[in-house]
Amino acid sequence: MTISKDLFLALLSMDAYNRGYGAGVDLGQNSDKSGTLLGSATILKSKGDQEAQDAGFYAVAYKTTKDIGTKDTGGIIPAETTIISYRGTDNFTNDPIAAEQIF
Amino acid sequence: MRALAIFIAAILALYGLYKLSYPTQSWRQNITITVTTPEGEKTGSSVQSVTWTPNPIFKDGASEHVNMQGEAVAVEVAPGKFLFALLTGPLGPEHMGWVARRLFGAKAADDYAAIRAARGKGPADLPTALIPMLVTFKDINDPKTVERVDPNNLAAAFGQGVRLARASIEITNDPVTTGIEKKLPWLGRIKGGYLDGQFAGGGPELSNILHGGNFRQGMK
Repeated sequence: MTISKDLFLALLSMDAYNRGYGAGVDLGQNSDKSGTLLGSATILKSKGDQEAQDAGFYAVAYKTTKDIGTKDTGGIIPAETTIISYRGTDNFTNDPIAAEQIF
Repeated sequence: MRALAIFIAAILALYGLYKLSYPTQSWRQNITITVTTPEGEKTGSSVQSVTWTPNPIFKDGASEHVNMQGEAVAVEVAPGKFLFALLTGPLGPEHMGWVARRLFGAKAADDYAAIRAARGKGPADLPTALIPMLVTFKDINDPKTVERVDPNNLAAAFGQGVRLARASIEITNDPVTTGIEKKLPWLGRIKGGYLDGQFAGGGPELSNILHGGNFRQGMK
């Protein structure tokens, strides 16, 4: 079954929440290492260093490995296209002052 | 004025109820690494603070967020030649935030109760799977020369007769360790960025995977 480009982009937009620091799903160490394959996209680079963490930011760039979608399902993303997915996480609930100090 | 007081009281009550329902948990842990060398045992330790905060409202996928304050363990294996046990490791970027939960909470219904129970019981050995990532530098003044160290084969990086004797964790009241920048003079310069100075990371070189936050977090 061919996946539509919009569905594929939606998957990549959610994928950023599951890689790097503060991931929602544990995908293991180096889940955003260059070359990691996700369906028909491979991870190029990511931005999750301390500089990004201090800003509550995370991004991952993918490159498509083949054409995604069809004309009938909204269009085609050509192979070798770079797609960037990012998240901004404001951790409003973090309150170390009110933490229950185990120690 | 009375309406304002009631409003503030209501906000405080809601906040209190929230904190009771979703308590933040925090502890300090002393990580100690002991290395056997031909010149005798060399030891390094670092006290790190770990805070876990539930995330029931802002649904970004993670049910809890972890914040760490502290720095990597540094062991001077030979004069000027250091072994670093980082804040990252096999459990992911927040490895050192997970270690106590995985070690003490492995057989407990409540991770945090198990960590509380570990109080005053001294250091506990870390199994290999919980040992943080170990690295060294060919040239300590050049972050690009970072190299990974196999915990089962320190001799490959430090020479014959060098091996990891013990890695342990102890829940403690001691203050968070500071001062790693004295051993890594470039740490302030890279400002939390990747060791190779690139804007984006991902490797394949280790210096493009590791960043300043793997050596020090939550410190100014």
